[in-house]
Amino acid sequence: MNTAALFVGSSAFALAAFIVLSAGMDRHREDFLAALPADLTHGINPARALTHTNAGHARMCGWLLLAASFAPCLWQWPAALAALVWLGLLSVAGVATGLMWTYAPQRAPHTVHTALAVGALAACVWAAMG
Amino acid sequence: MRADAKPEGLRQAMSWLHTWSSLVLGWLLFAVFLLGTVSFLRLEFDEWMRPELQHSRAAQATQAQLLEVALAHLHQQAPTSANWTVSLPGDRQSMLAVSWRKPPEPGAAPGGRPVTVTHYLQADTGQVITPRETRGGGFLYRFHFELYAMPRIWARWIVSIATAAMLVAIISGVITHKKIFSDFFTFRPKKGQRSWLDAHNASAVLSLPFHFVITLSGLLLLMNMLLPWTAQYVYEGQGQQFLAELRGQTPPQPASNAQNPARQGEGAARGSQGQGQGQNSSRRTAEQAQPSAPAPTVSAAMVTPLLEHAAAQWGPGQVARIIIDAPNTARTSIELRQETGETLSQRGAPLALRWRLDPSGEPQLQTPKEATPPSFIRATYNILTATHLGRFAEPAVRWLLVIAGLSGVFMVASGMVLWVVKRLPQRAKEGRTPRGHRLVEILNVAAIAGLPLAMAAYMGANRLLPVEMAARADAEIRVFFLVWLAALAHAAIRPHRSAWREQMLAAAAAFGALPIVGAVTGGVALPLALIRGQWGPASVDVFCLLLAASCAVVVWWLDRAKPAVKSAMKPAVKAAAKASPKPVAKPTTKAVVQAAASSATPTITTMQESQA
Repeated sequence: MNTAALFVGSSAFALAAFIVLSAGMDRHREDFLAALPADLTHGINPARALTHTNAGHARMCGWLLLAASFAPCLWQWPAALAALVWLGLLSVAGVATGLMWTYAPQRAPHTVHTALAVGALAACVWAAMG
Repeated sequence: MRADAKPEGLRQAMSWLHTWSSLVLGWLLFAVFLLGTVSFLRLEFDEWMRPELQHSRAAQATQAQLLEVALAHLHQQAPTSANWTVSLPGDRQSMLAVSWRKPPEPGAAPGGRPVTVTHYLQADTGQVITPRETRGGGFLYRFHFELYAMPRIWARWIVSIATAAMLVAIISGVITHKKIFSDFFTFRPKKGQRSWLDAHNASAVLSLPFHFVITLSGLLLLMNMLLPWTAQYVYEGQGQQFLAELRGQTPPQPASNAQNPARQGEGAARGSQGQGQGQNSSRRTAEQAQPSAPAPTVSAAMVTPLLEHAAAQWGPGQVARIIIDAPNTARTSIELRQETGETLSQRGAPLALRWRLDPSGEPQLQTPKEATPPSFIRATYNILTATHLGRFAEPAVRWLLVIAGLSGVFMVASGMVLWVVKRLPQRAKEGRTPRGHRLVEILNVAAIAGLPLAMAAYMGANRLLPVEMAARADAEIRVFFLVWLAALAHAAIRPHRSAWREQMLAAAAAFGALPIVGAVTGGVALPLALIRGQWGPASVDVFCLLLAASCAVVVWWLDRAKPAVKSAMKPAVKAAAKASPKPVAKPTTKAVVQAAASSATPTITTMQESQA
């Protein structure tokens, strides 16, 4: 159970990280900006806040989120096993990111929000279970 | 290697290397990758394929009950054995198993390997369960690096060469890939060759660390066979010493082994045949036997507090094995071991607690010998090979390895298909199919669709062949190869697309049916296995359903993707229409594909026409 919560949380953060990272890439940036709802321009929109300034900013946020997805693995296992598990989760999150850009690019900001929420929730569950 | 003698860029050269190094051994690599992935679930397959063991009720019994049953059986069956092992049900097995080292037959050659006997026990009655004769997951595991029915060394060399080719393909593939970063998350569907290339790239790049490590470590595991000369030179034929030092063990003491034959006559000196036990053998020879003390009896009441001690230290349910050395003697020791350890640099060596019985029969906890940390090179080797063997993995991590393995399977398969797809326009222009292309098509279907089909047949045969049949294990394997051969024949006589569709459909149906067939023929049904926490059979059922879904997706995609191939196939359609005796007024999508397929396989067309 403990591991399951860790997997969910870590891969959710990795998913958010990959989407934010790729939102800073030329190929996906237009898609991402187009997907941001216009009426939220001035509201609080984490996805926009994460990416809107410039591509470099998005990249930094992405790397930070990636680090956040690695942290619980490192907490749970010795370094080598932690890296192995993390890379496995990254693969899954990477495939999900690719499929999202192909089939539902308009859902990118929404996916970031959901992933962050799920990740935070799973992190709480994981922390509560010790 | 350009025909026009212009200088060739690095990328073109690597592209050539990537294409051809992968193609030649690709079919073998596909089998190695798929069966290697299955090997992560080897013990789970073993249990699935021995349904008798799934009803041992061990998962529901209390630890005290299990201990009682196991020790009673050992006392009765092997009171004089040197070593007892009790395997408790856990994540990877749901039965209770006891094993003991059988003393060598009198008159057997000294130094011969001691035989280990294993019995599976019914948890409530203590009766021995005799499972059906099968090689289970072991056959699939062995095939992935030793193939079948050929000298082991040859087979290992062949697989090693394929693995080396894989490593070449991975490195040259990365160099060839023009936009590895900007195309990181890119998949462009419905674009024929482009889509295949994207899919191939995505499956390769996103799991690149896994592919690289699994390939490299595959070679490392066989390195003593591949590059034996250094060790031979340095150790001058002392192969045992080399292997022992390689594992970080003290070399076996020739003196302790020499005592064996002499000691076997004495009943009291059991437990000195510590062959192949590494650390244990040297430790035990240091201990002095106390023949005068009365031998305490190992009982469940004695072991239960030790289990409680372990539970307090490790958490509940962590003890996988109870190893009792020299039972019923004055030198008895009891060791509790976890299933696996998590430190890959120590090869996932499990944590253990060890007690020695003092003369009054009271267990005394031993302070473990501080393990020397492995050297840097050793640690690197350990981390890489431990990843490959995957023994350390708890179920969730194991499944992650399985998924990574499947992505590798997909990478190899998509690369093989891409080779064919890439040459379709050229074929269409020429209006004929070169023999080599047709051969690749046939082998692609036979390997990529045929092998899963053969696997499903192997598992089906395990359940459907009569249990008491003679040479049953061989019969299962024969079914595996016959079905694989049939898949090859089918791929050769059917048009390419139909062959794909029919075999994938058959594989999807077979894998989809296996969980049901398994439950009907004596296994535990998937929902029940999940409720009871019998993860072994449950994992295999889920794996089957996963493969069924994957094959079904291919079938669905083949049916749906017909319009997408239209543009690529247009010239072929014209050629086919010209050749066809019946006028094609308005080619439907179905007709387009059939025409394209039949023009791609002229020999088959004539055969079908003559039949009609």
